[in-house]
Amino acid sequence: MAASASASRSEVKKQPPRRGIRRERIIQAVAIIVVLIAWELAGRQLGVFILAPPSSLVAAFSEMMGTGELQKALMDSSVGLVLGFGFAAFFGVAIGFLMGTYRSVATIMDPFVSALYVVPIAALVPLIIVWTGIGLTPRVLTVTLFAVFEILIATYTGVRGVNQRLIDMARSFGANQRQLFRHVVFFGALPVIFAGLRIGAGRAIKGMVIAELLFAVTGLGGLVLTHSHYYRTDKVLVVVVVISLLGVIFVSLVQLAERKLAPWWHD
Amino acid sequence: MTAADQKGLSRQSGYVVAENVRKTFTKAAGDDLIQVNALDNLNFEIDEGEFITIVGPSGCGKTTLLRIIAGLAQTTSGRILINGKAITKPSPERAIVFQDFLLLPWRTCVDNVAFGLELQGVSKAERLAKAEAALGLVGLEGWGRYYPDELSGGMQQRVGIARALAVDPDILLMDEPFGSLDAISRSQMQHELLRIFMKAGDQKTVIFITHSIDEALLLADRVFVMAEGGRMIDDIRLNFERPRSQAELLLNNEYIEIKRHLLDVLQGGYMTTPFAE
Repeated sequence: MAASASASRSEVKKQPPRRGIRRERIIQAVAIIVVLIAWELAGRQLGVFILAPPSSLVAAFSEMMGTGELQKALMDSSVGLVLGFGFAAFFGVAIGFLMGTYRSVATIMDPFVSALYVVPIAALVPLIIVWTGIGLTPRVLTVTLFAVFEILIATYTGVRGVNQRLIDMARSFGANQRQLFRHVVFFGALPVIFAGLRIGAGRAIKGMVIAELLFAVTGLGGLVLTHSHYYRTDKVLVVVVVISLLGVIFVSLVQLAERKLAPWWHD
Repeated sequence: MTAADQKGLSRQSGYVVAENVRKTFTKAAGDDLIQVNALDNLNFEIDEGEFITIVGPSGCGKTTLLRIIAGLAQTTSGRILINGKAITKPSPERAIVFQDFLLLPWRTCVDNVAFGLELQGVSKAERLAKAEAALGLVGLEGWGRYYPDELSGGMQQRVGIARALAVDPDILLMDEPFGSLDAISRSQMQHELLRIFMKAGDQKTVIFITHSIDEALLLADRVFVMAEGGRMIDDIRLNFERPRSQAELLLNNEYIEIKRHLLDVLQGGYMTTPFAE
């Protein structure tokens, strides 16, 4: 098989070069330091009540850790966030798949999805309180409503966008409906679904804080509210930083899952 | 079973038979809907083990014909029989190699090659062994663990061919398989295909669509010539000895004569007197 040697290793396409990544990181670090310094200077000018400087946050942070309020709030928030996002992911993906697969489901669901998608979910919060009280349930429901539509629409779009020619290919090799779904449609839609899950994760964080601010004086949102009543700007800012870190970590976890489940995909 | 089968002869007349095959599409033309012929009353017979190439201009219905043979599309009227049985749906007995490869990007090469076998429920160990063997046949030993987008176009198409060979089809349908490759990969792949075709002991029947007259003449036992409107205007038998090479064919007078005729027919846009064998 002499001719076969023509497929040499050099024919493999090179991965995109990762040069410049270190440089980018350095630029980002410098930018963050510049902002922190500006914040510190402004904070010292304006005073701790208006804009607590970063240096004062360290003390506030250890004080809040000492009383345990920060850990408790973080735990409360995380439970609502994970449960709410879990439901959003499940229903969003399931309904999105049904709508993408069966035209009749899409026809029936489309007006509802379109209508709910444009409603500011915060406007529904009074109703949610009427229906479910003020425990964990309304927080979970709010997070779910915040995140579910992005995931649902991404899934629907992803399923509809699967390359029809790949489906033809699979049919030509004898795939039945179930096999088409399992081997082609599911994986074909997966990158788009993950894009929806990433956006949904970001929106879930917003839903979580809004739920806590609006009707449930609990979790990190509750902590923001409590401390702002006492003009403890430093503690409020500590909580804001924690929320932002929680958000970054949460979205990173979704990206990690994407790299595990869709290793072929790199955008 | 025919007498030929019982004697163990592989060649059987009328293995693939097209009877008055017609396919029309409805197209919008301004405010009107018009009927367009994609295939216009095709009749032909292909013997088992024959290598057929189909040439013709874009939009002459070549791909539609292939899709019908594959079972992915239906005729408007008439039918195509394989071994006396009308085609109604896709079957692993007829495997396709596509111009744009159509590998599943989420599967490694070996899993792509094993795809057809997996759909048939072949056990993992067996299908991976067969897939590795098919990769070896197309010269891609050891490349199985790569994802398709890590390979060049030529290598991806070898994977596509391996995937078709892995299910051990009786008929190999090839839809301009080398059309998107550069000239050098293309000529390499043509020779690889001939090598594979001659090596496959049970003489697979190949139906191969191409735009290229040179490619059609290098590969085929018979060349079907199609024209706009889905008509088949010529059926030329080639008797050049195998293995063939482009360089040797260029010295062959019969080859030159046939090529001139095809250039006339396909590029002149009109039909000359039917070619006499």
